[in-house]
Formats: sequence, C-alpha cells, structure tokens
Amino acid sequence: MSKIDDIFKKGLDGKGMEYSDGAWVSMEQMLDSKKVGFFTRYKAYVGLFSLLLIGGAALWCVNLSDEGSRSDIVDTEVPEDANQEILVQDMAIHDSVFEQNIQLDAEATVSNPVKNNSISYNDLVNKKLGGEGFAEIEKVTPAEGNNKIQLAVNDALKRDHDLANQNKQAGISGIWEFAGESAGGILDKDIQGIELSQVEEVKVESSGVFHSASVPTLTALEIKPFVQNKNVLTFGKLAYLPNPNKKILGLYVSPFGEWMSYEKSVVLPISSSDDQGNLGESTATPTYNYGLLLSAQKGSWRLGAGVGLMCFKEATHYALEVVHYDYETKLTLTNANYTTTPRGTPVALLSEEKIDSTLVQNQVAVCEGCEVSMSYVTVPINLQYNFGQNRLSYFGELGGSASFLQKAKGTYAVLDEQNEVQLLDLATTNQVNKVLWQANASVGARFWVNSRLNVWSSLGYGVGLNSMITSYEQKPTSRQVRLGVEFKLR
Amino acid sequence: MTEEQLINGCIKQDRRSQNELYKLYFPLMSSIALRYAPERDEALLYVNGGYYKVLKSLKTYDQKHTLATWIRRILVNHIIDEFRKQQKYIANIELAEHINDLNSADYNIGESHFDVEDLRAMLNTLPVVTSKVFNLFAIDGYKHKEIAERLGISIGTSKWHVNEARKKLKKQLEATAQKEKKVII
Repeated sequence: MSKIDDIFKKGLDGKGMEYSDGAWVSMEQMLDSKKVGFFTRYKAYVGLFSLLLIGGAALWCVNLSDEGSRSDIVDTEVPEDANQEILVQDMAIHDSVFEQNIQLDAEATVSNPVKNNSISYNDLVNKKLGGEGFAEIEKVTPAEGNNKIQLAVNDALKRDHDLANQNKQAGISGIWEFAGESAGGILDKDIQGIELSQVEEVKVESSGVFHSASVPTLTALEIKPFVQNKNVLTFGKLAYLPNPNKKILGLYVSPFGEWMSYEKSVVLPISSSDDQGNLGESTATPTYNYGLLLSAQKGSWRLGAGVGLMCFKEATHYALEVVHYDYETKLTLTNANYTTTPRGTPVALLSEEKIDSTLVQNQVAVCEGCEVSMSYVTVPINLQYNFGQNRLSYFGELGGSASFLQKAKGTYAVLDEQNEVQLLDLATTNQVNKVLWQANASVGARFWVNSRLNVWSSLGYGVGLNSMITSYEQKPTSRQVRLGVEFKLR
Repeated sequence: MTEEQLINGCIKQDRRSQNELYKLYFPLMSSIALRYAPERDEALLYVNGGYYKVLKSLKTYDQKHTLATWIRRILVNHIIDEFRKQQKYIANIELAEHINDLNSADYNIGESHFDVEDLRAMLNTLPVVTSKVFNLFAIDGYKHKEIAERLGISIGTSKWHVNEARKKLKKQLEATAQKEKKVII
C-alpha cells in the first residue's frame, strides 16, 4: 500500500459524525415513505404542462363561448310584414362566423342577445315562419368544394309548446343552396337573398304517436358580410380569413416538441494546437426538447415569445499522443577500487550506461465513450411573417434566444493553458457559461384544422453567439425540426 | 440489547431496534459517506439510503463477516450505485502499461500530522471520479478489477485515477507538511 493511501486510510477511516436526532428524523421519513413513482417524480413538470394545456384550452373555450353569445355578432331582425322572411344582418362581421352557432329564436328576432342552446319559441316565431312549426338554425358552415352554405337546423321541428321537449329525437338538417359567385351571391357586398328551397317531411314522435309536418319554408335569408376582397374570398377560405374590419391582435398559444442536432465551432486558445492530435473528435447527439410559445399577430406579422427546455448532448473523444524514450542500459565498471568498507571489503563502483534508446509513441484515448449534457431553460423571442391566408399557410421566422444553464453533467475534456488535456466534471466546474445566446432563423408551414386550431412544423437553424465553455471558444450551431399544435385564443 | 436482538428487531421492523442499530453504526457509516460526499447533507443522504438498504437486506445477513464489515460493504455499494446513477458515463481512460505506478515512491511526509478535515478537503479537490476511485481502492480496499466492474470502466482507467489521485494528493500533502514545518521553525 502506498504511503499516501495509508495516510488517508488512517486519517479518515472511522472519523464520522456524531449521531443526531435530526439524522434519524430524516431516516424515519425515508422509512415511512413509499416508493416514488413516475408521476410523483415528475409531478412538477406534469403539473405545469397540464396547467398550461388546460389553461390554453379553457381560454380557447371561453373565447369561443363569448363570441357565440355576443349580440354584436348575430343581430337578427324580423321585418314586421315579412312573415316568411328572416333577415340576418351583419352576420359575418367576424372571421369565424361560419363556425358559430347561430340560433334564430324569439329573442333574436327582437335584437336581444342570442342564448346558446336555449330552446325558445313563441307564437310570434311560429307565426312568422308559417306552417305548423318553426325551425331553429343551429349552425352555418361553408360546404366544401363549391359555393354552398349549409344551414343545420336545430334538433326539432317544433309544432307547439307542449311537444317541444319530446321532439328531441326528431330532427332535420338541410342543405340550402344559394346563388353562387357568378350569380352575384355572397361575394357581393349587398348580398342577394338566399333561397331556402328544401322542404322535407319529417316525423315527430310524441307519446308514441307520429305526426307529420313540413319544414317551414324559409324563402329568403339575407346575409350582409363584411366587405371582403372579391378576389380572395371564397367559401372554402372564409372561415380562416382575418376580419379586415376589426384590427384586433390575434393571440396564440402553442406547445411544441423539437428535434435538435448541433455542431460546435471550436476556436482553440493561442497556446494550443492540434497539430499533434491533442484534440480529438466529439460527436453531438440529437436531443428532443419541448416548450411553449405565446404569440400575437397583426396582419401578416407575428411576434412570439415563450419558454422551453433545451439540451445539448455530446459524446466526447479526445486523443493524446504520449511520447517517451525507452532506454537499454548496461552496467560498466567505473572504478574497481572505489572504496573499502570498515571490515576491509573492497568496493567497486559500477555505473549504468545507456547503450540504446527507443522512441515510444502511444495513443491514449481520453474520455472515450464520455457523454456530456448541458440542459438549459431557453427563452426564445421571434418575429414571424406569414404568407397566405389559406388553410395551409407558410411562414418565415427570425429571432433569438437566451438559454439559462440549469444542469450540466458528464466529464468533459478540455485543453488548459499548458496545452494539457484536463478532465472537467461539468457538475462541479465553473467553466460552463451560465447563459447561452443564440440567433435563429426558420421556415415552416401551418395547417388550420379549424379556425381555432392548427398544427405547424418548422425547420430552423441556430447560431450560438457565445461559447458554451469558458476555457476556449466553442459556439454551437444547431438545426431544429419543430412540431407544434397551436390554439388561437382570440 | 445485543446485536442479535437488534438484528431480529429490525427484521420485524421494530422502529426502536432500527433506531438503536442506526445510532450504533452512524459514526462508521457517516465516516464512509463523508469521504465520498463533499457536503454533510449529501453524506447524510448516502448514510440514510445505505441504511435503508441495510434494513431491507438484514434477512440475508449470514454472519460470515462482522456486522460492521457487512454494513460498510452495503453502504459503499449503495454509494457506487448512486454515483453511477448520477454519472451515466464515466471517463474511460486507457493508459499504456508503462505509466509509472507511484506505489513505490517515497514521500518525506510520514512524520507530519494531518487533520481529518484537511484530508477530507484534499479529497474534495480531486475530480469526482478520481476521488471515488481512490476512496474505493486506497481506503475501502476494493481491487482495481472490482472497481472497474462496479463503475463500468476499464482496469487501466481505475489505475489511472488512483495514480492521478496520488499525484495530486502528494502535492497537497507536501504543501501542508511544508506549512507545518514553517510553523514549527
């Protein structure tokens, strides 16, 4: 055993702490605690993610509900003398009007706020619609592929007050065609009336007795949309167009996942050189990151910011060239009568002389198989320009991010000032920069599932503006592929 | 209470026996943990984690070794496990056989007295892996082969760490010894 080992063994072995009740308390807690599961271990992250998701969805729903109940969205009026005509004015003042529930009921006819999901009917409506019942228009949506509008009629043909609740099972929906663009249809500012031509006979169940009735014939429905550019307006796009009459900011929230690979540009210190293979290879490992973006859009421009978790991983491999000489020696008699011992024994002096030498070169792999990872909380900010307003649109984005080091681990080999490889334990060293600045550019596409929800993907390139390690300049360049879901908050 | 009674009590999960055994071996366990952890809190975590494993494994204690030796072994293994969890990849340094071992080196520091805290502080200045390997080899008596297997490194790497530790510790010991001499003069 080495003397040093001995010093430490004797000096440290058995020299512990005194027992304390505090230590036992924490031990007892451990004994009492159950095995920690996945959820418990990651409950903070799961909680945060759930909160954001639920919050985003709630905002979305609240916003949707607000829009459905806003009296200024649907303002209906029934002319006094028009028994068979319903006028819907200013119906399309919102970009997503065709996604809204529009109920034409008694209150709506007198310009009161529309109550969603309410079953409201009275003699007035009955009378105006004529026939034995009346219909509630539940939903107005653009039909696909042509200039048609689909009016879904609410779930019942209501014949009279008493039968209303029993008519839940009965229902009709009809598609009414209206005159297309060529006939001066909805594309005109002053819209022509839409002929509701479908008439169906339905059966209404009431206490086991089937009654027959006709759908009331709505002969005209006047829609006055906001002024749109004729050239771009078609029904297929209408729900996704911004409302030019309202200059409001669109707000979006988007959780995203990211695949990222990075490379680093290394600038060695002046005193260092890799001429002798002092610095070897390192391979960046792709990582999966995630985050949340909030953005506000006005026109085609969108400003976004958010928070995300980013990780750089690198497999390091450094090679050292070790050179030394092996000497072959032989003993030579230098002085046969060197000295004499006190007992009178003659002592000769021998010397060891080098007779040959061999230059030995060895490659020493340092940190082979090492992997380091540096985790950051990153705060991106970016400016996005959107091309097109179709269901599928494209965007380009420029921005930057500040990434704050959360955790670094692994053993990293760096060159010190004496040009020697030093192993750094990233968990304890202070040679990792706490903040990493990056500039990013990306292009992407966005597909609107409906007027509130889209999925998007982008391909980006990032350039580090400062070094990850303080020992020498090592700027990362990264490529990212992002995939996200975006909710429109308003 | 005898040691056997304590063990039986612990197996029956008697909290009082568990406490008594903990009290009894706390100094030993903490002395081991303090060598591997720079901070006392971290050392206490090691102690408690190791003791938890001791309690879980007491049924398998066969009395071939003393209880102290057995506990020491479990605790060190626990510390290695924890360390491996923290450090998924440990530097693997393959060294040529010719690199000198410092076993035979003679340092003129034998007469000096070193304080426990000084020695711990010196150990803490070593890189984490190097410190762990040195502890395992020099103080806890593990063989290079065992260390290599436990830490997932090569035997050469283990040797390299021990040599590195000795080199660095030697410098520190000499520096401390020099200071002492000056003080005496």
